[in-house]
Amino acid sequence: MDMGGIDRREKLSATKLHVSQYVVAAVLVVLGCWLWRLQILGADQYRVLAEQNRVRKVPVLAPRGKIFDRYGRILVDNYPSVTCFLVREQQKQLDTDLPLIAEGLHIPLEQIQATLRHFQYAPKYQPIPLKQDITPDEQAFIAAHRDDLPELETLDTERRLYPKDGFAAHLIGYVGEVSEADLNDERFAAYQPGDVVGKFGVEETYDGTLRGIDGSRDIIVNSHGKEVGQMGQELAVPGKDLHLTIDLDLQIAAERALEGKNGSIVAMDPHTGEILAMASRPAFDPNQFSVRLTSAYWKSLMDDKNHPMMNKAIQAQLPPGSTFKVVMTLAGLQENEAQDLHVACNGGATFYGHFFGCDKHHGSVDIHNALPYSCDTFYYTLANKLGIDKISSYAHSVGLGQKTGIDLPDEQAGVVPSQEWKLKTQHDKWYAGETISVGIGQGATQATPIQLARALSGIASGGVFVRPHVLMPGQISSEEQSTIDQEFPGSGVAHISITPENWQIITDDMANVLSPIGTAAAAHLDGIDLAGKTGTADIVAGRQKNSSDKSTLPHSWFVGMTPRRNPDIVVAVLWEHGYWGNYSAMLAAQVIDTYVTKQRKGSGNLKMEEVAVPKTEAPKTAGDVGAAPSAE
Amino acid sequence: MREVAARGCCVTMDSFFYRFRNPLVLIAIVLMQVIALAMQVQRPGKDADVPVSARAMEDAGSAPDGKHVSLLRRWTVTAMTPLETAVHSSSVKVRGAWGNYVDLLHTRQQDAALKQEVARLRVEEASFAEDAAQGRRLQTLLDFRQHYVTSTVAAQVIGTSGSERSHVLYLDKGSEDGLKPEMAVITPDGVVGKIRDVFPHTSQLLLISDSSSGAGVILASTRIRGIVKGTATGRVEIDNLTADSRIKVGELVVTSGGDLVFPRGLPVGTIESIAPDPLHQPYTAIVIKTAANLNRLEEVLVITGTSATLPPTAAQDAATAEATQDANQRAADLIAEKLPGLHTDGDAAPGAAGTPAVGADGKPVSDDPESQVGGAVGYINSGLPRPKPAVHPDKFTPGTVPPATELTPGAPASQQAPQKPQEQ
Repeated sequence: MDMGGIDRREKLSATKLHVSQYVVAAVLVVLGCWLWRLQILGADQYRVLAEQNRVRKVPVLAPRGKIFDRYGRILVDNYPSVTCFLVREQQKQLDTDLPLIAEGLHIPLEQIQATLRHFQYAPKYQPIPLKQDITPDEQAFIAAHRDDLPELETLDTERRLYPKDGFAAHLIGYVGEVSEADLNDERFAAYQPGDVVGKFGVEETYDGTLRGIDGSRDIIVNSHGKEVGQMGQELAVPGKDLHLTIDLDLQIAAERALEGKNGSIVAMDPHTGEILAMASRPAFDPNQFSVRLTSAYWKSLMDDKNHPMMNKAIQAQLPPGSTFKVVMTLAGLQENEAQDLHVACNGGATFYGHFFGCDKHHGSVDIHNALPYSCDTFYYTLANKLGIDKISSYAHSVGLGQKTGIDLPDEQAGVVPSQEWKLKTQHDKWYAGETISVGIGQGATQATPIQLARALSGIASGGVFVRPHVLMPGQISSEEQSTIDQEFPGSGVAHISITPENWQIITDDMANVLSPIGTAAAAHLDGIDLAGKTGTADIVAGRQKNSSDKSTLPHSWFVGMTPRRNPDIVVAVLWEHGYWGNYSAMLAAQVIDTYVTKQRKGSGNLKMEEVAVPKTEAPKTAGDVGAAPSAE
Repeated sequence: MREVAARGCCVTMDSFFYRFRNPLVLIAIVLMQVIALAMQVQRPGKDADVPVSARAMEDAGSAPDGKHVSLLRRWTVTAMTPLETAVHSSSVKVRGAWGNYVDLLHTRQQDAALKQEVARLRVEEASFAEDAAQGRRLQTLLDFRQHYVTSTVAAQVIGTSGSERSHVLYLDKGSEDGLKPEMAVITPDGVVGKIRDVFPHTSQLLLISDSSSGAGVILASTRIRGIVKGTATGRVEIDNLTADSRIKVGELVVTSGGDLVFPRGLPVGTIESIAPDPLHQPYTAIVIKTAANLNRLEEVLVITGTSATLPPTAAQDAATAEATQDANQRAADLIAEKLPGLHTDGDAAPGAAGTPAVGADGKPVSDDPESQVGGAVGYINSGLPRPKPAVHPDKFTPGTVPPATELTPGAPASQQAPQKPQEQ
């Protein structure tokens, strides 16, 4: 029985054995197929997948180029900044670590808890910024606790550091994260979300040169995402440093002159178009933009009715007022209308049934004293003789009503009224009466400080006009330069012919504006051949000038230059609500004085011992060797 | 038939267990281990809930284990520690016996005591040397000593972690000897690392060269603050400093005390090399040669007591010394001083050397009330400057400009002032 049982069992086992053999063989075949599929057919694909899991590409940020003045003095620098983040991906109880973190990072515990609550619904992988710009001690704390506080991570960034007090803020601009809207623009095709780009001023114009090219590192990470090694690298190409045409000394003088005021000062070399100083006030703090702009600060900037975000040197479009009379003088002389024009000024005159006032009774006025007196009656008469077509043609020829083509973003073109302009904008025909107020730079006429600097210095240079620019030449390739030129179109370099006689008359007239008979006599500088023209632009005609409310006071202009013919420097000053033009002239005189003193010191032509006794009259006789032509 | 089959089955079962008794026991043990492992893996946070920092531990009373101590590791460490200690101590004893035989018994003991004394004195000396370098006065010196190490525990290195990448050593002292996590470990030469996990009679020493180590340091002579970190290759580096010509090879690096682990003023090492780090611009990689020989560590000192709480007056003094001397400043503050501002002197502007000044007297125009006249009422800097007179007439002097007929439009004046050399 036992035997039989055993036999049967053995028989049964033998059959089962066969079956199980086949099953095992089949399983092996299936496994073999899968192995073949995984290891041979899919090898490449899986290798890539595995590498991707193991190797991570991290960007190596290129340091942004620094910005210097024309003599290599630093204007914008970078600084390494460290931000501390809290990473919640590790499933670790954070609560027990918080007191230690609070102590090490010098943040109140409640504040950390509040931050955590604020981010509690944010995705887990999103790091929580705990503290920006941490100190070396706080960095050391994080480094020394890397093994027991792995949730703390630091991120090194290079931050832009701009001068204090909004110094040259509008010229330099600022950087910020590229915006959603910008990314859709083809100009920003090469940018990634999160990239830092120049957003204003030089930072925007020369972003491509300053930014460099980011590199990358292929790092090997373990299953926790911690870096354990490195496979390959692509070095970052640092951004190029840029030298601006700005002279720091003049910029300081300009910023100081504008301190506490509202307006702009721009200084330019009329031979080359190099901007020597460009200040606009009130200013903003670009450093606020490079960290994280608070909505309160942004709101305060937006709510300020003095427009701190506007670069008034190229964006403030205001009636040029009497500074336009230089253009009128040019037109009158070149058209042979002004040479023999004699006007009796009795405080104004009537044209087309309407009385146009002048601020004084200037008596007999001709081309030699009309500009120093700034006699409105004379220019009303001249404008009436010339007509709007000729006036607008000359205004256009000196670059008004068009951008100058300065290499800064968002330059405004201003307005030169003409028959076509009025038809186009107001769908109305031009009335001859409107020409009268255009003759004194009022009416619809609008100009920016940079336009007036270029126009008036160009006239004083005998009709040679330049393209203003802020970048020292020779720093970018000619292709880059032509791209910049195309991106910032404008009147640029131009030449008009002026007869030597007319050139002489206009420049002497402008010098006489600073003579005792002129409107800017108060800004006369001993020993410096300063020439220029004041302007007082009413904001809205009819407002009372003597109101205590400063916002109703007229804008005060002055465009000054030295020497009077072929000037080496021109300074345009716009003082909003500054009242009289001679106040602006005094601001311009500060910049001019700084420039001339610097030039004279550089050539050893300065009486150092005279410093202590500036009130003696000796310098006057020494300075005024050839005495300025007296007014007739 | 049925009966037979049932019996046969029973016989089979008996013989099955009997025949496979050994493998079954093995499988059961392995299974239990796997289950234990699985439990551990499923609840990784459980052991980590033990308070973390040394301070937190003090509050919570004595916690025998550090965090992250998993079940398996705890068993292994507990099982292995007596064995390792036995092996180590027996080898030490054999060597010691020979030594004692050769030398004299008491000389040997005296030597050990003296060595400890020398170690303590060298640490103290380091503190004084560091102090002298700072040039502090007596008052601060007192704070410094108070802030400094008050008690240490000597410990023997009894084993390594065995992994090439991690630089962890095992010490023969543990929580029973007063050791807690986050305590600094030094040798008389300098900093070695810090205590990581603590077991009753054993503890883990995380070397400063481990890639998860870090410490706040000060470069002793330049007073520049940095952070040393271990790297995967075992080198110790400072990687958060930008290129600075003041930093020289051979400079002593000491702890800053800012990291709340290492007390202030302990030597870390000297600068071995300085090289720009192309992957981490604009920083430089500064390699440190550690003062303590991390590869041949036998005896170390664990700093168990520092007087962290200073008397209020002393703390205040220390704070002022801190503010004035060590400049725990952000890089931003340092660089910001170099940039121009509304109230910067033209002369003081960086890089101004060689370029002419604003005013002849070096003073900005507006600062001297005598130098300006008139101007709009109620506004500063709105008046007229008084130009400094020229020695002889130049192109800016009135009347020197030739008549228009003699001039070319746009041409610079012939009487050219010497052009300043342009940089770049």
